[in-house]
Amino acid sequence: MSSLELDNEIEPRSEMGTLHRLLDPAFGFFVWAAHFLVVYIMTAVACVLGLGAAGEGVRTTFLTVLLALTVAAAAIVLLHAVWRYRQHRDLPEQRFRMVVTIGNDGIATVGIVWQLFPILLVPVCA
Amino acid sequence: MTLTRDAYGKETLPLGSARVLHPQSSGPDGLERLAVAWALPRRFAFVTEVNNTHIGVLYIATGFLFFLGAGVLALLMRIQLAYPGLAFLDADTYNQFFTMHGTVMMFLFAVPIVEAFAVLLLPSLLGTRDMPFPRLSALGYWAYAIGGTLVFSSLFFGIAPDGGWFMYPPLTGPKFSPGINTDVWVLGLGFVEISAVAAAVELIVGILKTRAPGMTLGRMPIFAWYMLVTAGMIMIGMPAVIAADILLELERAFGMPFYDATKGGDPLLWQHLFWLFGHPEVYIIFLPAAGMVSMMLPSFARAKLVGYNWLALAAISVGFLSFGLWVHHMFTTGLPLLSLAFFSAASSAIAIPMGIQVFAWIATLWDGKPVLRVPLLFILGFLFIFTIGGLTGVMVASVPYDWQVHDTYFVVAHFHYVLIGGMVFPLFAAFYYWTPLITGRMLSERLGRWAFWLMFVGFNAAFLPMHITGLRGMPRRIYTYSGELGWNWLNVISSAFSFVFAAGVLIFVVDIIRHRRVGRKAGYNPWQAPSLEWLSNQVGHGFRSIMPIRSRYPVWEQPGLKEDEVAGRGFLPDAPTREREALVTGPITGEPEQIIRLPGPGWTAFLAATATAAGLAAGTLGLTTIAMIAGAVAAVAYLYWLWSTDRALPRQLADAGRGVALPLYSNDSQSVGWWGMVVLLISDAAVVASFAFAYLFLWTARPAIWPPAGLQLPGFLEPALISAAVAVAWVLFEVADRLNQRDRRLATSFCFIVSVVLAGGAIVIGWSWLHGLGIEATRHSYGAAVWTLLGTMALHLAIGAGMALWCLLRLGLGMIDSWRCLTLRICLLWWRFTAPVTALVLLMIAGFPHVVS
Amino acid sequence: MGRDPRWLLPLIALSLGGCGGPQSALDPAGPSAASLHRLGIIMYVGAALVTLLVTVLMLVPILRPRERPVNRRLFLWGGGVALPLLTLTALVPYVMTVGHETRAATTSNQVSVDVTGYVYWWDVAYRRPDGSRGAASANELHIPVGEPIELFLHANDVIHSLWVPSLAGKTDMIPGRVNRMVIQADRPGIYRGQCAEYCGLQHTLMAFDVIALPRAEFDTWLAGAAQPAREPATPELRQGRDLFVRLGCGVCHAVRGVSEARLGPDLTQVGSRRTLGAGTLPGGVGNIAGWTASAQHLKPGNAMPSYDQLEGPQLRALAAYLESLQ
Repeated sequence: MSSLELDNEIEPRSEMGTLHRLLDPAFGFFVWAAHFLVVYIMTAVACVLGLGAAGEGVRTTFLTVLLALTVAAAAIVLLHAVWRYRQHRDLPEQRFRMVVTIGNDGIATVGIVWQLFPILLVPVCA
Repeated sequence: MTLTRDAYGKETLPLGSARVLHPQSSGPDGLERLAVAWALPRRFAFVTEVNNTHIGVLYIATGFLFFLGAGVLALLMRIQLAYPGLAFLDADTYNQFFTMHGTVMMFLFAVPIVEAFAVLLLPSLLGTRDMPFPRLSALGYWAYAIGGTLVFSSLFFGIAPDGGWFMYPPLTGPKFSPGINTDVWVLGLGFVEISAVAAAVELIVGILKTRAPGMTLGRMPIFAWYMLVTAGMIMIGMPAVIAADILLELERAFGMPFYDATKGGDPLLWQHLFWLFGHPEVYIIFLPAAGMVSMMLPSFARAKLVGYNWLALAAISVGFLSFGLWVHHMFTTGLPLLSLAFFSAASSAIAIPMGIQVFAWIATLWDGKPVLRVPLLFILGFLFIFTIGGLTGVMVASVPYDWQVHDTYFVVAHFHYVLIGGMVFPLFAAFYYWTPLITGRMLSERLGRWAFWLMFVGFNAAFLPMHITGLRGMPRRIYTYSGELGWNWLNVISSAFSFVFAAGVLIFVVDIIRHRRVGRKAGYNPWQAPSLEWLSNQVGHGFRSIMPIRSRYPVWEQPGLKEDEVAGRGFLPDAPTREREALVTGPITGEPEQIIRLPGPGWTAFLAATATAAGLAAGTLGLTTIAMIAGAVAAVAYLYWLWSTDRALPRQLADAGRGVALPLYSNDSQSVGWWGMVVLLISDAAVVASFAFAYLFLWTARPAIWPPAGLQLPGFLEPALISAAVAVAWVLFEVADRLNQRDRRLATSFCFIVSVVLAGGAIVIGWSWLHGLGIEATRHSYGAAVWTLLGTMALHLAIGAGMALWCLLRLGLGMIDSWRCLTLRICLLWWRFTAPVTALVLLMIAGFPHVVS
Repeated sequence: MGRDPRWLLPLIALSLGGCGGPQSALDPAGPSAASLHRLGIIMYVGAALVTLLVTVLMLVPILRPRERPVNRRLFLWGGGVALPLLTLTALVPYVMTVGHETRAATTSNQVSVDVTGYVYWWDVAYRRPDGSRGAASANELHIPVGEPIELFLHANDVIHSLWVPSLAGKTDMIPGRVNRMVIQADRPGIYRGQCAEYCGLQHTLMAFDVIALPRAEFDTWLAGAAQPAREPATPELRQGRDLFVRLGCGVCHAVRGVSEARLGPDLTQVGSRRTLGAGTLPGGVGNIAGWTASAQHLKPGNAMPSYDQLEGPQLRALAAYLESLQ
């Protein structure tokens, strides 16, 4: 092929919009960011509202909610990764985007799951 | 010649009945027309040039001068600290020096110079001729150069900032820093914010919209990925510090108590906003450097990058995770341990993408047969130093350990390892690597080795002992110390070797000066690099023709690339409109979509930047008259600039070469203007979000005064009225767009007029609402936060109304019609953002006090 | 031994052992500082090993170029993913546990102290059982050995940070907030601390001593500190006391039984202090006189004016009086 040719391996017009396709590889991190903010803000607000002085039961319930949020967020990201992995991908360009998407989802999952350490090991509002 | 094919040979381009603009009327091959269109202005008019090569070189040179200046400050401080009890610098001077060292290194050197490298290199790396908004680059550069110089020269008048580069209130508030020093800092940062946001718009749109045809996202040079992430981080992160600055200046100038604890403010609000930007800032500096390392390595390893995909995803990961670290700098503030621990865990997560990058680079070296030239030496130095900095980063990210080392020389050592290792060493590698591209001559290999070894040894011997100095109890920012604390020897060593490091930098400076005369001629592609920039001649139009790209390493994998490029057999070998032009391509696939005409030399950007700088500086110094005159000049320059956008263009396709015809104009989401506005709005959203955060955060700090005793709770009637008025104004703008499509000019004008009236009405209702409620801006933080948020939204509405008038004027003058309507649609984007956000803000201000009281 | 990196521990401990000093985190004298030091040593060893690994790996291809293509998976998955993932999964929970133990340290609640940061000095006040302000001091904190002491940290003006490295990590003092911190000294001694958050012009000269005493000595000291200052016994001391009152020293300074003000350091026991001006000068009558006459020269920008208009005898009398306040 001479240097002048463009290869014709251009992906067919996708039903996803340009912005969506640009942002989808970072899906995991949008979930990570949302989870991080929700967990952090919930803790801050709960401490302002006096969770530190509340009974053991209330604090356990609060931690259980944080735990559930964390597990749910991690599950969403992993499902997204599996979904992208199962989509057909014939072109190198689509493969590239799949690898980036799944890699980001993976790191985001670690980021989310590691939030379990504070939730499980550190007392609220101390 | 068939001109109905698109770049891929498909007959999809809607040619219609339009004629095609052929340039081939004179000249043998268009080269002449290219050269005329891209010619540099002569002599003093050089300040009017906006081309990226020109601006990029100036930008880098200016940044490097600030590096030298701030470096001298560091050396003077090291002299003062060499022995206990020295009186070389007094306390005040020392405080100004360390404040300016940090401020200048971070804001006037590190961030601008990486942006500068991107402005210089990206267009040729992406295979295009220039950035999409050359005047914006020029504005960013001149604002930075003039403003930075003003701020730096404050040192000579003893009015330099002295509150530390982090400027914590209340120390920097009106009570404890009544002098002008703090305002000078805010002023300097203001210029950097202008240039950074300009760069973010420029880089994001440039990377997404102006690549060579066929360069898909997965084929971009890896540097483009890193810069895309960096620009995205600036877009989101910079607004936080802009907001913090505005609040600080509101407190200093008008007494609105955001940070004053005696009036319900909270000093921690500043720390949150500052570090929300300040931590990503470190990665804003590091990522471009990592991108440059990734570009240089293949040339020296003689192998393709191992793990391109991994590096791209690592860059994205770092970009996101870096926003989850800001409390990292606030571990000692006594926040609940659980909150701190969330950030500690997030800080740890960033180790994974960092590990991936380091090992991908090492694997690249293993994969090839490395050739040890000066740039590679600096890259190896970077890997060693940065690894240590990263590992001490894991330490300071460990909450309890940080309680010991925070604000000590351990941290000083840590971040110099990160920043000098992670940014200065790659930068020097880049200087050695890309200087031949700009000057056509090589820097000296022999002097380069000297420079490297002096810098490497000097750096490590100066900063490694600081870890121990810090652990033995030496806090940061002290101008002297007692001789009995066990720090004497450590400090002597650090001071002595800091001069060794400086000697290395000096040798580089000598090399740069002498290489213009005695340096070896570089010739074409001296490092046998795989990337496109070496095809460009780096003056004027850069590429003879825009080459179609099929590979991540085009020079290695597309044989005959150079010959075809020089022969003009690529795209756009000519200037069909006889002006500066570039190709616009699809953000994902790199399909050619359009030819844009780029502005050539002009006074607008330079004048706007100068007038802005003069106005802000005069304002800071209290020279009201000058400030007002300069402000007026600046306003005229900006308005003229905006007026000159969305020019009248032939409604034709133009010959893009290679048998392809492309439109010259786009009035929808394909256009670069549309993308630029989207980026700007995301930044703006981040500013508004920061103000909303301030409101909510101040409540968590002082829940009792939300609202203060004696104030009634806000009602919902006025907010509902305002929201309704704004919503109608927005809908009318949407209707105006539809009507304009059908050429109903009178009805369109009517829509604009009613929008203006509604926006004005909304502002008036809001004003009287706040007065009726008796909320005062200076009595307590609640009032200050409410006024700031509503003031921001009023400003948005006023701008929206101004846009309606603007469109009305242009419509009346025939500068908007059913085809030429990009201006209208960009203004529409503003309304699409402003209207819902206004409603949300009003809902929060009216509803939140009911929820919490 | 073999792969176990712990054999390095004694070595490192030895090399750092020489790193003592009156203000050193490497020379812990309390449980909190000790556990942070232990955490530090683990991380130093880990960091040294990783640095070694990276350095060797990056130099090998330079020194010995080879022909075979590299095993990319090993580098990217092994070095890039597995290495940080595994080490940090082990480290992070440990870090959190240490943090929790340090922060949640319980106290006997027998001694609680309010420490307030002022621009360039520290106010120290022992809480009575009812929570009110009891015995006061400045720039010196006396504590009983072997007991966890609860400190409540306040700031009067700007942000300061209390840091006594040998005993514990630092905690900021922030206007509008009260932070809690627990310190404990396991052996008697004097531990120096310093303001760790930049607080303005004389941030440098804002030091602090923690004096750890056996419980009995501490009780004696505390009882003495709660007493009013002794009446001056000699004419010179009486003259000094009168000067103290006449010059208006009491507008800023408290001397228990003489004046009440709290704008400047409490001087009830200033004669026994180890330093003057928050670590600017050693204590003693000569330096008290010098400080009184030229505080602005010795520590420019602090709130104490230089009383350089005093005649020699006056200054001597005033200094002698202050020196007598033990």
